[in-house]
Amino acid sequence: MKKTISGMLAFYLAACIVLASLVVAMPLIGSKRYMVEARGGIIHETFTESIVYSVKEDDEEYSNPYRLPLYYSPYTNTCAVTAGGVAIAYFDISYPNLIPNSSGFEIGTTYLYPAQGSTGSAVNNMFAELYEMTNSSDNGTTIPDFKSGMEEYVESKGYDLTMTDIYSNHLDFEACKTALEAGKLVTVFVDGFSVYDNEIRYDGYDTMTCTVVNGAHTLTAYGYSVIKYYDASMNIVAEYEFLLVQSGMPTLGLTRLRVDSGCTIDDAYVLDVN
Amino acid sequence: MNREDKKIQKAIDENLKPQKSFAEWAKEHDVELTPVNLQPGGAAYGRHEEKANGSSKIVVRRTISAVIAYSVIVAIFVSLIAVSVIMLPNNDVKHYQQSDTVSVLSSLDEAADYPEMLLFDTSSLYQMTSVFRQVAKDDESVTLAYIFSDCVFVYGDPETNPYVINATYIVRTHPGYEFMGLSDYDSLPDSVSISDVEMKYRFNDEEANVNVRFAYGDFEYFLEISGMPGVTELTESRVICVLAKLFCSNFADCKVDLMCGTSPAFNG
Repeated sequence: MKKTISGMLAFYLAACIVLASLVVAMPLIGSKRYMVEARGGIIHETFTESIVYSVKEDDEEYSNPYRLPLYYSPYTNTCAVTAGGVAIAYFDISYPNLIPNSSGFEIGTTYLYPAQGSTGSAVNNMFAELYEMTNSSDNGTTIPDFKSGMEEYVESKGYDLTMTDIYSNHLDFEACKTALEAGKLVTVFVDGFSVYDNEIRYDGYDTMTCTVVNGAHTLTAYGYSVIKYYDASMNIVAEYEFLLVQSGMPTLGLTRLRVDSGCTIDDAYVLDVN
Repeated sequence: MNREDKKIQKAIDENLKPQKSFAEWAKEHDVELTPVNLQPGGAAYGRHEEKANGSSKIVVRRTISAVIAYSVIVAIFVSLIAVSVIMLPNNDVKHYQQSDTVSVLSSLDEAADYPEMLLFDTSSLYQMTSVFRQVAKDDESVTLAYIFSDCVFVYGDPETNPYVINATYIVRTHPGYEFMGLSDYDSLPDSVSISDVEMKYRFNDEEANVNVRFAYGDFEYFLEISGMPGVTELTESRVICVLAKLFCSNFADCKVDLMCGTSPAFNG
């Protein structure tokens, strides 16, 4: 009789082990992970922030009417080439030899950048030159190589590029605002960052979707936005400082990079061509 | 108790006292006693044990029955769970994040050749900034999505009364691709059916744009549509018309009501 009971208990124990193994294995099925890709990094988490408030101030903002084109470098791990390339495309509006044989046009107050096109197009030729000049590879681009490569490219087209460093222990956000309002661009190098979009207003509260991304990345900004939320006693309950950026990711396009929190900035430069 | 009462009590006790103890009686009748814990909470509480002359032994039948029944239930439960896990749909779907992917330059023609892909009506397409095919980094033959960025559509008379919209169109060809920005298409509150294709959408007042998501065939489709500053402001009442303009050409019997007002852009 004892043998029967022991057998039953052994079967029960074995069944529990099998069940536990299956439960543990379930999340692992089909979730193979890969190495970091500099163009996008790894999404650490996505969540929705809700901000309850009485008063909202969001009139401190500037968005360059030309925005930035949704171009992407056709090379792997070259977010810096994308960030530099879209800046060159922007300056090409005023300095048309930057991307030879390429011109956009305006509809209403919106400037339409020329299509990126296929291999061999004017825009892709620009990316190819920039890729070489910035010594980029599948491992990405260094900041010194980005600077020297951008300067070399612009000078090769007959213009001068100035890059003013506006990062020293922290991002000089006021300098960002001044530069952006003057029609210049800001390129930021980050190592872990958060983008906020999908802002929805409800009665008495707002929600925003925050995506936290790990990994080194480069983005170029064309504007900024500051949002402050207050309670009924005008005590501040939340504050956000954003740069309006071309994300460097085709599925995300233009978005908002939060720079006052949730973002590790390594360096930042104001870009201008003359 | 008085004296007489004590006498009576003593007499009763003497008459009730057994002539031999139970142990002596058991020995005489070859009954073996086994000590068991019959106290409440004891292992044998409420159970009888009979063990007499090798054939009258009391067994713990209820314990064995309970163990067997319990084991059978557990076995059935485990079997059901195991079968369910094995039979789970999409069990083999690999998940890809942005970091698992590579962007490959593509074109509208290439996308049009992709089997079963639902494309927008290109007859009014004025320009498209870029087309990329997102592929798996470890196997570039695995296509995860097509992304058509900044597609500008012009309806009506481009010179006198243009109605211009700008759309970014993402076709997710692999269900495991968790692309950046996917959460923008969660919990879309409104919906419209265009030729039996249910499209969910959310109009964002603040930015005057709309996020749209729908499934067709094996793929999922994501659109962000806005107007064109200085030319066209997208309004919520026009969302359905815009979607109809973009997709009705794919269906012979497009059922959407195209009563979109008197703008030349939508008279046809």
